[in-house]
Amino acid sequence: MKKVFAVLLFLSLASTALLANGTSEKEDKLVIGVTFMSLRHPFFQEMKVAMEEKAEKSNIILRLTDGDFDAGIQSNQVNDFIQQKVDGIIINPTDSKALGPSVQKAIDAGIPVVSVDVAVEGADTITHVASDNYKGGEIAGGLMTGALQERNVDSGTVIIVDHAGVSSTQERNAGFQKVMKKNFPNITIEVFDAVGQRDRGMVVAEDAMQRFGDDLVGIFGVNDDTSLGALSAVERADMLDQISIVGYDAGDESRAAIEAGKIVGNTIQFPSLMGTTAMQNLVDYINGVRTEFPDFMPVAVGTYTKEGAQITD
Amino acid sequence: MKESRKLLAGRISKASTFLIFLGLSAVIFILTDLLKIGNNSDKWIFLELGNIRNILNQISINAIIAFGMTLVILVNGIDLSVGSMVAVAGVTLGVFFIQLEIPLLISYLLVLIIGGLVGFSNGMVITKIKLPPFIVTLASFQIFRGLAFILVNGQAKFTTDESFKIIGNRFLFGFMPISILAMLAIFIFYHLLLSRTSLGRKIYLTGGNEEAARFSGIRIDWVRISAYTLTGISATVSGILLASRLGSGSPNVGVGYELDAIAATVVGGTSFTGGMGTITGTLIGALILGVISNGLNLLGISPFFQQIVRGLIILSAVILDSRKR
Repeated sequence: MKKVFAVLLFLSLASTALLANGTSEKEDKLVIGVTFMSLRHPFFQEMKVAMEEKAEKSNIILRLTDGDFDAGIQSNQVNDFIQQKVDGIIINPTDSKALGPSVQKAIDAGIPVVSVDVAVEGADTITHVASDNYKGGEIAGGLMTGALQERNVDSGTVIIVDHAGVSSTQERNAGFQKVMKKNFPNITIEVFDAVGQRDRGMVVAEDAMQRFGDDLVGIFGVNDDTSLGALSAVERADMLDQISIVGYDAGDESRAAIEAGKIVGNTIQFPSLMGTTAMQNLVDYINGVRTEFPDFMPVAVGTYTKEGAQITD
Repeated sequence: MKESRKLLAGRISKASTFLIFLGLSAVIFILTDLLKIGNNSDKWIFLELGNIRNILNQISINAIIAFGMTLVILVNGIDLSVGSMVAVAGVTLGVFFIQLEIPLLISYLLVLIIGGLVGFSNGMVITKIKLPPFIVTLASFQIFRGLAFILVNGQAKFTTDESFKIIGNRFLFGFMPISILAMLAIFIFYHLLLSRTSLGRKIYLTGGNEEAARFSGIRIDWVRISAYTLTGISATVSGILLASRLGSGSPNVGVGYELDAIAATVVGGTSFTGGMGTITGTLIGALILGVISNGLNLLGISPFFQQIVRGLIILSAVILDSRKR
């Protein structure tokens, strides 16, 4: 009901806008406001470039803004978009909860909103576009499987260096465990919490090596930091040939470690695909091509190994 | 008279903290090595040379910060920004050595100077603008963390240059990690500072009875500022060791270290209202916390329970300690 009302409101606003400034470029070009939590991070840079390319091709005007990790700034940017009467908004919130009210205000003003990478809580967005973390965990499990099989290991202990209490990493954790339990019935999996941090990841890896000794055959770090922290512990103990390490995200430092053969591989996300998917769905909604959207639209993930990046369907 | 009572209280508290440490270690030893909970190896894994070194190595980062924190708490202050300073130290080292290719030793020196200035600025704002230390360092906690991110654009600086990793990873004489030696050296420095120098006496007096300290002509502002500056330098030393151990200067490390340092200080018997406490107590406090987290990991206790256990042990250590007094 809310959505129908929003659409009606949007249509009425859009028609008055058309009547008001008859021959503006708005007539044939959609204007989409985008606010990123930060444009400094390479992940979002990649997303931004892909969106700009798509906008160029599809005759869309993008208003790109940088939230600078500040929910207040992002809230102002959303308000500016409402003032400018943009046709749609793509938001990548730095704080899911804090931006709920501003986003709902935009929706109430008839502007459809799609969230990307991080969802908005308390606002009726069209859909949320983000990586499929469960699938990503399964891929990491596949990388670990390959590494252990290559070493002819079929028993022992594999630890997950985790970020407890965060939904995305819990999904990665679950996907990883599912694959490992299926492929290695004789391997025990133990979870250690490192709060997703590098220094804590190093400490739990040290303790795990002490506890399991030669039994420890593999470590999965749920993000770049945890896997790199574990790597520094394993490297110091000179156990690289007995412990296979798999990580997630493949940042520059992880890539260097993968190329040096210290980390088996990483699950990789595709921010460019995330950006273009969010845009496509928003445009489809605005143009009325599609009206029904699921709450969450998963974006494919892939692997990064010595051979480079590969997408997995 | 009051002085001697304080000294005596200090000794009793150290002794009781040490007993807590021994008791805890014994419990963990029985559970892991004798009852073999959480592991099935035939060797001892807790009370084993490699693990003891492991624990000392792990606590060195926290202990060095906590030594500085002890001075600050002794002068009736608090420093919440130490964890952020650890991050600042790591990234500035990354910028100097990895990005600008300044020789390593000069980079260390520059980073230490910055750390001292950062601590000094905390002390200046607290004493000269007369603001509560909790509020000032809560603000600088945010500011320093933000600076760490800005300095490196949110991305860790990493290197394959092995010399960067020496100080945090290398063993001296084939078995003694440099971090542990650094911790012991800084321990001795702070211990002598507090027990043998006039600055040490002024620190106790300032925290114990500010009014009296002022009337006896002590420039208490400068005593305070010295404490914050030394804490800044301590946190920076830890930041350098940590960056070297991780092989990179990352803005994301050191999160929550202020709480670990405060915990070590308080478990070690330093009074939260200032004026009473010792560096030896803090070292034992850091050991207790290190043994707990190592022990719980060796026992395979779930991460959520670990937090509860850690909290309960901190609480009981402090309760036992206050009873003894």
